[in-house]
Amino acid sequence: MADVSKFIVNLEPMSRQNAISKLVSTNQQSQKHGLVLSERNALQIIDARNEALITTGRIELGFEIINKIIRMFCQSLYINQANYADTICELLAAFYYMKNETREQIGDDDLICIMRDSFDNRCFGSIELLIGRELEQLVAEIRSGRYYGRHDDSEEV
Amino acid sequence: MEKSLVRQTGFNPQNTDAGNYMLSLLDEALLAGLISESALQDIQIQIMELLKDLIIKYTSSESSSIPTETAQNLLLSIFFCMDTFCISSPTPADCLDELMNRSMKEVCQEGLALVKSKVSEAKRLFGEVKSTRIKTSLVAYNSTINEAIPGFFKNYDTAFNAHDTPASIDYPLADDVLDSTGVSYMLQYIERMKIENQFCQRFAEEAIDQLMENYGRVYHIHYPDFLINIFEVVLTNAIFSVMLGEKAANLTIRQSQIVLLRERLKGLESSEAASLLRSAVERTVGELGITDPKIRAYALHCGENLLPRLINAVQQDTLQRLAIPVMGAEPEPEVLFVLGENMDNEAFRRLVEDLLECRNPAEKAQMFLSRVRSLIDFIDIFEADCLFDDDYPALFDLLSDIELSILARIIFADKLRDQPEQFLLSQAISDIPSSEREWVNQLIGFLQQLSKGRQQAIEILLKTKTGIDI
Repeated sequence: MADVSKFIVNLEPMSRQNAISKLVSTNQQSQKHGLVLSERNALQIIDARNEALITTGRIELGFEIINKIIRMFCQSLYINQANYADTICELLAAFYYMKNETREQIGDDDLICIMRDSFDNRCFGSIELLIGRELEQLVAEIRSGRYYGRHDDSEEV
Repeated sequence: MEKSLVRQTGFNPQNTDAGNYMLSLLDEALLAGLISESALQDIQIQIMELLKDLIIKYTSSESSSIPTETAQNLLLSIFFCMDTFCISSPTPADCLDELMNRSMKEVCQEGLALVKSKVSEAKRLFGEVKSTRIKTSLVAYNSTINEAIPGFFKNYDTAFNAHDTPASIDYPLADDVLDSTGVSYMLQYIERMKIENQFCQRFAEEAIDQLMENYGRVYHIHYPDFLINIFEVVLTNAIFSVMLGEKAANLTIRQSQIVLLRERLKGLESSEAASLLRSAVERTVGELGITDPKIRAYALHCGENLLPRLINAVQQDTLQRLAIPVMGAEPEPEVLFVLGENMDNEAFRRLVEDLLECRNPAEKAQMFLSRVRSLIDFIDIFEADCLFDDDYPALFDLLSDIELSILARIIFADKLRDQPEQFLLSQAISDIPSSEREWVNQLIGFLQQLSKGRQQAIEILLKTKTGIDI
């Protein structure tokens, strides 16, 4: 059987510059909330995303999740310019971790909505609480079959 | 065209890998300078786009990322379809031409269409397998036709797992399918099974049944439970029949004829034995009136493959285990649990529950032996996770040498069949790697701590019962 893992990995460098440009272009929306990413921030986020994918053993073709998380979280009152890039990096790691832990049972958009809701309304901007309490509770609900969806009117990400 | 390509550019399709056809063909073309790095990169990007589309389809647009293992499976499925397309090209050079002039999306879609048509063809041929099936008690043969192959058609997923073979095929073919997966494997398997069935149709059902019974007696096994290829046993006896001057359709060979055959073959050089075998195989196929080129080629191929075993059997004086002779009408009574009847499901379930409840190993062993009557049940209970560490020695302690030898024969069946003379129990139990089956490890551990005298006694039983001293 063919080993195709190299085939996938080899493609990543080709899209890197393209991804930086795309990330920087999210400034158009985020600067309305006083948040801006430099090229260096963009690179930091891309590296964090790649590391999170490796750590969680996942593959993503394209950079949609970064953009979705930025679009959703740049509106949060708990994020400021000083912690913007670092928070996005931590949210990305939490997102891919949750994709595995929830056994693919929650779609990307729903998961990002849940994360944003918890981050703002129950954790008041604490990423530690989000990961250590809210998301673990969500995992427990899913594994015990008690999860029926938290967002009836999911916000479009 | 192929030859001139090799001469002019060094492009050699022989270097391609059948299990990874398209990528290895492209590699070879790149080495020969027939395609550029950028063309290859373009193909790679197109395939990644296909993968991306497939991920979206797979997750119903719900997720843009998936576990690496799932992505690899999806990509393998894409390559399987593309390989199916490539292999259908008349020549590797034609295939390369198509790859350079078509989009990967088209290649993949046409490959998928070919995969689907192979599924239809396999289903049609499976209908012929069922209509020509051999009436036999062989469990592996029946379960493969009744459950495994229908299960494949039920579970085979052309969209996301075309390269996978979701079937547990137990029945071994005389010429097994190698280097193939998915529907390509299944189609070849079914084609060969049909050929084997059609060959066996030339013989009376009762004759095949009797031959298989004799096979069981020769090897002292309950043959329906073993993985034996019926076609091979039938073909072998038919060939020896012809060598003995009998009709090919006659599968009955007497012990005295085996002695005669051995005398005739004894002094032959390998090349003479090969020539004698080839001529006997051809006469067998001719006498049976086999004109279908596929059946003919398959029988000739499998018949000629007998040569190493024939030479070995003559040298080792074990021809009676290659050509199966008529044995006594009744099997020798070996031991109670081999010949008894299997328990019904309810009795089996109750025994498992009772064993799980009982804490005392000695009582468990007594309970086990008082209620288990067949070798099949014996093994099934072993594999029902109701015996624990101390239970095994307590049970094995109550078994006689002959009963232990029967269990050991299951573990060492291959060694005993291939090289019985060289078989040494003490060596076999120290060389054997750890098994996934707990009872096997426990039995090996038990045999290892027996005295040398008992080990030798069991070894003699193992050899005697496989026919060496017959």
